[in-house]
Amino acid sequence: MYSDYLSLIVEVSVTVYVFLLGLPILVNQIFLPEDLRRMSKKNYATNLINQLLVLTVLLVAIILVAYPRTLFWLIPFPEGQVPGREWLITVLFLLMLFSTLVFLYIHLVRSQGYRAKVVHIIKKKLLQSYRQTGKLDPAYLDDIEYLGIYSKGGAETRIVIQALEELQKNLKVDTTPGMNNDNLIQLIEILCNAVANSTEAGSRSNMIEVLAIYKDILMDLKMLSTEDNPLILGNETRKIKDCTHKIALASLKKDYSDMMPRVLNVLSLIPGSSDKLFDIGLLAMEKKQYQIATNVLSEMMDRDNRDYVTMNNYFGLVAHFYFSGNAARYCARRSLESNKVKMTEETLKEAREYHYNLCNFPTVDLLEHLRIKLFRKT
Amino acid sequence: MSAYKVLWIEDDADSDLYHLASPVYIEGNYHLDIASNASEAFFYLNERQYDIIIVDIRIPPGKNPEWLSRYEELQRQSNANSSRLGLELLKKIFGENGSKPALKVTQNLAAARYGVFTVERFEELRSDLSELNLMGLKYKRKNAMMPHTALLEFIREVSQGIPNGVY
Repeated sequence: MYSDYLSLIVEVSVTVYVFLLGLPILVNQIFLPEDLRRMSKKNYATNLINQLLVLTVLLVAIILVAYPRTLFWLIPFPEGQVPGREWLITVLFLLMLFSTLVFLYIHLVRSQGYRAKVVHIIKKKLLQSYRQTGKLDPAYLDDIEYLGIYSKGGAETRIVIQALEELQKNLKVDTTPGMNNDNLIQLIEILCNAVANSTEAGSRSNMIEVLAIYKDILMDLKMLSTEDNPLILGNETRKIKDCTHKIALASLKKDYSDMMPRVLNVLSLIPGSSDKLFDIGLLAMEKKQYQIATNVLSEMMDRDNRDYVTMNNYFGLVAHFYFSGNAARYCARRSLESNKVKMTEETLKEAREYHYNLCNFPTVDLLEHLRIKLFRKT
Repeated sequence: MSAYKVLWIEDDADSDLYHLASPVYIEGNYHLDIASNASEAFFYLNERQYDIIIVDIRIPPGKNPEWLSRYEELQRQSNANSSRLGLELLKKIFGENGSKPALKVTQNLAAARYGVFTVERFEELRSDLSELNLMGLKYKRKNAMMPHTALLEFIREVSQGIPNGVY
């Protein structure tokens, strides 16, 4: 009877333990969303190992207490029942069951806001690596980018964006001439990927949040710029320009047309952004969002520097306006007049050449039609 | 002269009130910059020259620590003026209690270029504007029934009020 009880306890304990060997997998399957499970550059579940260790120690203790004579045959244990052994093994067994329940409960509680906690850990690790080495640990960056891309649009992505914003605030902009702020550039790109390249439906408010962060970075770069070291013309700005453009196109495709003012607002701080404005204006026209297209046309000329590229992009968009109905044509004429821009055959040819080199063939054709229409030459 | 440079300080300018901006764009005589909070507004006013500056009174602080702390300070005082950072901006620009005006771009210091476009009644602003000697500031009240050309008309009104020689 006595021996049966001990054997039963050991058998049940081993069964429970074997079941618990699958605890990490069980916890992962039950509590972690798929994107968190797949994120594998770094291990964020070290506490599972500790918990398994506790249960292993308890199981070993149960076995040792149950079969001392078999395991330690050289030690002269007294014959018959060892006093208190039954009581001890029961306590150990209950402790094992209790620990199992506690661990599962802890994971159940922790699974609430698990994503935020993982993001928080990544943020802390990134800040730590930045303080120690001046660089952001690429493995953690990969993980946070992964989370940004695969999180559900809305609150989940917002957690990643907020973490990235905090990281950005902690980065010191290197004002040494000719130096790239690689860390900053990486963050800019990850922010963009989180809202514009995400596999999930993007959220308008997250896109707006990212644009606000870009604007803050641009303001900082502008304030740190000097004549000798125009930081605002650096690779960081180029990256923001590119990312803003991607976000703008993504938002237009999702019919978030009311976001365009914010896009224009960001691009207005970037010198030489007429190429991106042109693309946005064009897509707006294709989607028949003329208000946006008109604002883009106006914004394009809202520059002190009307260089070759700006003017060619402007003429390209004007050509599209010209052949989009009478009202749009009138609007284009008003724009030319108020901006005191004279469209000559030569300028149209130049614009046509410029757009041809960029393979903007529909624009090339429209510029040619416009030239023929205005100057009656074939 | 070429197009007027206009700064519109308004947190809803690129969302709810964007329909007010479109007539300004399409009119062609104005180049519009939009600042959606105090930090952005202060940045623009220190970086670019403007002919006309339209200020909203209730604006958020943005992310500049100075404006954030000012905002939190106002919040702690917990009175009805807690979010009237537009007034704080004007105080900072024109110098409150004898302090020096705070802008690097001197053109933006001409009070005649400013207009207040807000939901607040003028009476609510009177004492603050009076303290700043800005009682002559052009004022227009926002409301739900205003036409889509309200901003454009106000910009025109402010531009007409700029005395000769200010440009």
